[in-house]
Amino acid sequence: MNPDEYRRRFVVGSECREFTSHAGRLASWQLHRLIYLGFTYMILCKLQTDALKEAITQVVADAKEKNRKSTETVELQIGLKNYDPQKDKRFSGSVKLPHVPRPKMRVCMLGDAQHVGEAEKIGLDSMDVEALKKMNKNKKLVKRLAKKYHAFLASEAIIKQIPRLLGPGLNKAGKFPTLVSHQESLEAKVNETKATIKFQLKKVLCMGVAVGNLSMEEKQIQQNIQMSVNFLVSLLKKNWQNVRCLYIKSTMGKPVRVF
Amino acid sequence: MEVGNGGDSAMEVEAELSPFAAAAASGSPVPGGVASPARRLGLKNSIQTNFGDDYVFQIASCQEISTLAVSLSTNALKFYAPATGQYLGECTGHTGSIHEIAFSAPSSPQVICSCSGDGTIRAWDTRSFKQISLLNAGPSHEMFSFSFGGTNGNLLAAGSSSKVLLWDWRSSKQVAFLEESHMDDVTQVRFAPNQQSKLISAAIDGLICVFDTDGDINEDDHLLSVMNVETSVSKVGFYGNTYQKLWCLTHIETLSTWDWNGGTRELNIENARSLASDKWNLDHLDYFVDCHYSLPDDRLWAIGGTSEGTLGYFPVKNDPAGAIGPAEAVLEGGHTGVIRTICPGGSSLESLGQNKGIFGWTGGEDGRLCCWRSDDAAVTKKSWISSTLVSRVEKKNRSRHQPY
Repeated sequence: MNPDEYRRRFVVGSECREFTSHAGRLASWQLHRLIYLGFTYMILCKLQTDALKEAITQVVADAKEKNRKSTETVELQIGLKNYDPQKDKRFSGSVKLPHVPRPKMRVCMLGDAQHVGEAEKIGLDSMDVEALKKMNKNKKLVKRLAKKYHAFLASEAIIKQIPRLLGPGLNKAGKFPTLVSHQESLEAKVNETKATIKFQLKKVLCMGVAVGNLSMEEKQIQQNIQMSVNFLVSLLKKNWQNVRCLYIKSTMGKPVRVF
Repeated sequence: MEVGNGGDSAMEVEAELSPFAAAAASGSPVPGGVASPARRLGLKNSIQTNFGDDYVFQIASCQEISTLAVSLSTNALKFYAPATGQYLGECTGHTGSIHEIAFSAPSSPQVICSCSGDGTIRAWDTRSFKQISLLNAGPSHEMFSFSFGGTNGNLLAAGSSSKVLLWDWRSSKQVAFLEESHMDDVTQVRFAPNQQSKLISAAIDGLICVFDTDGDINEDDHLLSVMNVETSVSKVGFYGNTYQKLWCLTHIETLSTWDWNGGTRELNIENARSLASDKWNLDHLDYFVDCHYSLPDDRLWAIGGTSEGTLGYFPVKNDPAGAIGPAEAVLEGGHTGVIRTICPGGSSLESLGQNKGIFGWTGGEDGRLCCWRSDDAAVTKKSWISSTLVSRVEKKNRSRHQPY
């Protein structure tokens, strides 16, 4: 959360509590102040935890009732207001969530000898330089490789050679690898890659992001939603005043409004 | 009141080398120890560029002809005299948002170029305010950025929807169409200042690509390296004594620095906004506008702002422990909304006398164009900020008739 908002929220909250502890003997100005603060508090704390929890329970219960064959994704849909895509700054980027929303994401390691070894240990698909050299910039082969995986990781020595070995094929597929150094844990990096989601607002004032799935615990879904909502709101110039509505829904379920 | 007299001109020349030279000379180069108090800059004047709720997108200046060009969200370009703020004229014709403007047409300082969402790059003569040339790539090719360069100086590169386009601007012939390297809007294209054949492109897909534009350009062989920023890139710029490095700002307000020849990341500051917010005693920083590099000092600043319209210059150091230093300059009281652009006053040695004592210009979503003074902030004209539009215009006129 934006620390500034956090501070404001804290100040307003504590002032509210101070007033309410004296309830019964308030002067009229204090009452007015309290009402004003109450409104401010409502405006600042847009995403109420209780309401969110309830909504998640509802989405999960609806899906259970239907008993679909596949694991449904939980999507967060955001509608904006007071935002002009022609004039205002772009709203796009990626967020790292606390829990992996897509566990089935296939990741491939394009590694040096050490990384290939590590990948084998944790059961991660991998390719070495020789395998990449065999592709010989063949567009069809590179395309096939890109299709096979959702994301790629690469060692430092390999990542530099990728344009030379594979050409621009992975760029076009939107799957250019992420660098992994030998200092960081490969497993953690794989999870980080899986937990990163992209968002982008195009010419319309609404967008959806996949923030979880129904095999996750409700608490985890809630944390992912809170994290992504607070992050997205902190990027809007008027923060919550730019948010028209927020819905959560499962792939085949009904949308539930949380704001 | 506008330009200092002979006595302190020496200091002003220094100030033109770097906006912070004065602060550095006074013995506080800020090595990471005691934070020097931020220099508060005074507002010289402020101009309302339009009477609707249109934004100022970008300001470009040309020292040689002393004209300030401003792109607005009305799809028009307006021109002002830098010293006085006098309105000179406008250029209209674009039918989509103007994404970038620059006085960069080779060997023609009076020509400003603009690229727009209508799929065109246009060149305008700032003396007659007439369009003098047009490159049209079609309405499906929204143009986000452009740059002149190439080994022979004959190339014009443009960033479009998931494509990089290259023309020979002398013959207006398209020489390359690079559509494999990016999968989303290309927000920035830049030829490297010291290696004119190298072209850098950055996009919403989070990649920065380096191309060699020599010879017959084909993507398979001319894509030299790719840097993965991992999130949508909004702005990049060269810095370092041979411009061997690149700074990169993203749409989620992170800052990273790269060695673009080696393709390696040096700094990745994901919480840049909160780090910078801790380095001044003002409100929380909401966004970054730009970075500023001073070649004589070899120093880089990230320029961030608040939604209320205050700006700060934060030094960026290649040190993961203290990457962002305390604010060294604060521009407060000029704007009432998000600031979108900063144009430095005298960034080059050959600047003319007219811009002496001017730190730079800023423009923002409040539609204002503000001019900041680089001499002491003591004489700030605060009254201009709060006064109504009408009286501000009056004051501007009066100030112009003063002899100095």
